[in-house]
Amino acid sequence: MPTIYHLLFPDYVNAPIATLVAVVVPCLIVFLLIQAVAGASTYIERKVAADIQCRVGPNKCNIGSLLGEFARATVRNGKDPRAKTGGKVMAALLAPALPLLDIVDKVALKLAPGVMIFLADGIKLIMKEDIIPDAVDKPLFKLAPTIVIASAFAALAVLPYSDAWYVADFNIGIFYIAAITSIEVLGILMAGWASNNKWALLGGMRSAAQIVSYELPVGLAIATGIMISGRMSMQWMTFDQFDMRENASWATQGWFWQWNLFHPAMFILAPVYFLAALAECNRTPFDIPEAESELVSGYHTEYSGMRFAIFFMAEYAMMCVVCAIAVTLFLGGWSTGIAPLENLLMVSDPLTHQLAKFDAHGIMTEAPKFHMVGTLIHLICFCLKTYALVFVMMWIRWTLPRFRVDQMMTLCWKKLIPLGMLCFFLVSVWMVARIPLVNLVGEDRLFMITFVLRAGFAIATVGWIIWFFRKPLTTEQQSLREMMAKAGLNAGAAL
Amino acid sequence: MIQFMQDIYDGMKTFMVGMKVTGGYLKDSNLHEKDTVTTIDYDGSMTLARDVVVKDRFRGHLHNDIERCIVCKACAKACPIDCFWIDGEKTESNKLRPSRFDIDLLKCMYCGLCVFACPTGCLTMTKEWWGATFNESDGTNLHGQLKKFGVGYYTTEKKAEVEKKRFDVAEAKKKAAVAAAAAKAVADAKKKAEAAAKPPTPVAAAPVAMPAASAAVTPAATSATEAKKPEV
Repeated sequence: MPTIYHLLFPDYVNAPIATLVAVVVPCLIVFLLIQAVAGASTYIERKVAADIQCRVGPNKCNIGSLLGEFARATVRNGKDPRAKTGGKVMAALLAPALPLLDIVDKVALKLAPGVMIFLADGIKLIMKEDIIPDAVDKPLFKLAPTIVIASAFAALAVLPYSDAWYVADFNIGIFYIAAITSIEVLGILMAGWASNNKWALLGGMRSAAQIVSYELPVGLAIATGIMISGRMSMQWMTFDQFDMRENASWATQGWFWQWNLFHPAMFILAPVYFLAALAECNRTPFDIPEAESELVSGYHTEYSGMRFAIFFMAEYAMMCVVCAIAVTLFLGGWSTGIAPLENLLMVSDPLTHQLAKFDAHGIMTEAPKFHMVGTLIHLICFCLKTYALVFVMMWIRWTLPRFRVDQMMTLCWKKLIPLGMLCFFLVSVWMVARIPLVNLVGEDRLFMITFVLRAGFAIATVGWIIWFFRKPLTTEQQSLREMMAKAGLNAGAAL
Repeated sequence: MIQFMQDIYDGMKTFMVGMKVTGGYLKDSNLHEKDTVTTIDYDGSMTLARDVVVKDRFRGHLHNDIERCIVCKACAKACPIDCFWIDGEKTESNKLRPSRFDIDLLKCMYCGLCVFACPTGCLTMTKEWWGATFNESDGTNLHGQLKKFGVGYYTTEKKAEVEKKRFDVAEAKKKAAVAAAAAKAVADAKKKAEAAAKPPTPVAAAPVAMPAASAAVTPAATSATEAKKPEV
């Protein structure tokens, strides 16, 4: 499989150095990108919140105004008689750009008002004093944010960003993610304990209880996914959601109903996984570890400046990781979900329409081949799917209020885990029952039966969701909405 | 088992309806922004800020009509965080005038308790809510208003002058009192003499004389005691 390593380095490059660079470069790219994404997520979250609550939201710090301010200041300084030659040249160069910048400002204000606010926030947090209270356990206090963000970023290593471009593909990829993201709770507990603050300690303890509990439904969902795909490699899990049979045709290869989501057991497990993932990220409605109204700010009460920002960034990175896993497990990873398009994007064997060749034991003998445009489209597709789920997480945040501790535990132990166990059991039974069934009807016919059933199920599901969100609200819901709108209007009129 | 399924169904249904309600707002906010957004977009300009009409009970900045202050310090007593610093001086007419009236606005939380405590209506809260300032000396902003608080201490010369005037007034009053006392003594002596001359006394005469005497003595006495008091 041509990875970024092969793209960057032909065979004649010194192997150890090339390997080092090929490992470090993608790591750095992903590390920097996820920071930008985490930052942008705070802006998007605030915008979503504002839209749902009928507010304006951040609209002050624009791309255009930021650049414009810089340009105007340069031009102004250039007119100063004391200006040096460089300043005068800069001013002369920038002066014709001012009207253009005004247009840019207007467009930016229309498209994404206040988008630079996250940069301003970041700069503010870097400049802030790093306060470490006297009574804290200093080594642990300093170590805790590092552990939290390290676990979130380490999980990024094995995500299947696209068919050919990814950082690493372990044969135990998803197991690695499950293991490494569990370390986050250690950092949170460490922060809570080291802060020497009752709120922080309570927050840390709550977080530990919550994350450890919700690892179980997540684990069950992941285990079921592994059972269905047969391997733990994230790339393989994605490929498994294509039709990887030997005599696959272009018409059956890569339709969206072959995604694991439309497997009956996984269809139940998807909401189970998503809710448990919400809880693992400490997101509303499971944000009891940092419940503002009860604990001041939970485990990061005592943190300020960049250490606090690191916790914040880790939360958003964790959201992205968790949603990327959900996309890989349920939504077909980087696949676009349209079979003809997939066949265009990927180089399959023209005779057999096969992506890869396998021996009798199901081991890949010839890796799939890709071309660059397809890879790029797959990369965009993966990012869009992941971010769509992150958006749903934000949407949920402004829909549901916070659970009580006991409600949270009830949901996990009495609802999600039994459901997960049930699905796990059903899939186990199906795996055993499938063998005689294959012998009875033949593999291809069984595939076609499931293919048609899944297609119907998927189309019905998507149709139902569209219908549900498009049908008008019932009178009861409408009156509730009007009540809320009136309350909002009154609040607005009060000013 | 049925209960279990029922719970899950109810949970999912209410969740979906909730998502739909918030999703409706999300959609409307993006499609018809002007109809849904209920807050006023604050564009950062001073003019817009000044145009906003606030409700009657809105507590903005503190305003002090210093002419009406009687230095009773009721506001300082009412203040829960002790942010007042008030000094008073005597004027020529023997009234207290606030020589210093400072409010530490870094401490002030705009609770408005001082406004309730003020007996003369000198402290009020304006509808003004603009607290930011570009220039400390700008008279229109909070800092400018603060500078108007208090009337300032007298200068040394002025103070001496006022003291002298007050001393003169007090002296004059004292003299008047002494004169009054002398007059009274004379009157009393006269009365006594008259009483001695006419043994059957008319009772009505004494009650009429007594209030007049006390009225003559009291102000002088009080002013004398006050004059002895050290400056606050």
